[in-house]
Amino acid sequence: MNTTSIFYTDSNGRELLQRTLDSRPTWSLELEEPIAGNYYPITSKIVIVDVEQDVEFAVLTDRAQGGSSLANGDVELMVHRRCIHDDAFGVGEALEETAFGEGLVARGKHYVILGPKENSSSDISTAAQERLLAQKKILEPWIFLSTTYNDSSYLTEVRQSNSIWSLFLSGFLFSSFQVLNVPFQKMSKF
Amino acid sequence: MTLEPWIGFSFLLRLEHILEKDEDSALSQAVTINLRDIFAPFTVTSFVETTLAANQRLTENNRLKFDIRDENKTEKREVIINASDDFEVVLNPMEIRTFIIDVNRT
Repeated sequence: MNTTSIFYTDSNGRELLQRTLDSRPTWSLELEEPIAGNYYPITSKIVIVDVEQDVEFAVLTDRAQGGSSLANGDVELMVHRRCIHDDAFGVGEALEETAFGEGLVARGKHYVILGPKENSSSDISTAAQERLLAQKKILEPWIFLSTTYNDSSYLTEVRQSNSIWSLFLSGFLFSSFQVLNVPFQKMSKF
Repeated sequence: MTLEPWIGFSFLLRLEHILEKDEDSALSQAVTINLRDIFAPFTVTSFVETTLAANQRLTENNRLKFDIRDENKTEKREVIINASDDFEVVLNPMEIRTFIIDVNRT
């Protein structure tokens, strides 16, 4: 892909910001650190676009990472940092975290979306599919399990709260907007 | 985006448009939502729009106004207050609107 040294990173999961390799928007730049100086925080998404071929390529991350596109058509993400030697930037120790005698390992999920930028044959654009996937996967509900009591009143309460959940939204939902974050433990006021 | 218990029988409600402008020909359009149509277990009886942090009514909020000297950047951000008696609210792309809603159980 010829991405003309431009890539896009998300601003805390919302609007995309355009980044240009070896450049800053408001001043001319001489980079001392050609790799680190082109790294940007990726809260949830990095995108590259080939305008001529009408192709958009996006990676959604499941956690904040560092990322860049150091060459046209490249996307790279820094999932985890572990240095054996001090990097001599002032901390005075190597960034080497261990647990149980072994170096920490970061695992996670990346979701890759590739599609046309403008002329989508599908009903929704590639960018919109990224948004919808992000809602589904990155904002996935967290399921917690805990021990309960062998108490029928408690179970009844749980069943009732489940019925509140299934009743809660009256079944419309436009795909471009949604309600999140309903704390049910406080719903007892109903 | 948010629905959480507020004072008494009121709730804090935040609605978010999750797409950016021009991301999709259909989905990036402004969306009109009727606050009374969203929830099944209760009816929204009244609402007031607030700032994002919900500590101030939007009508009472005065933002600092800056003079921009760069002539190339004349674009001004305007706060649009869509006060309305009906319960229809419009969400523009990437917009988050915050409301305190009073409800009655249906």
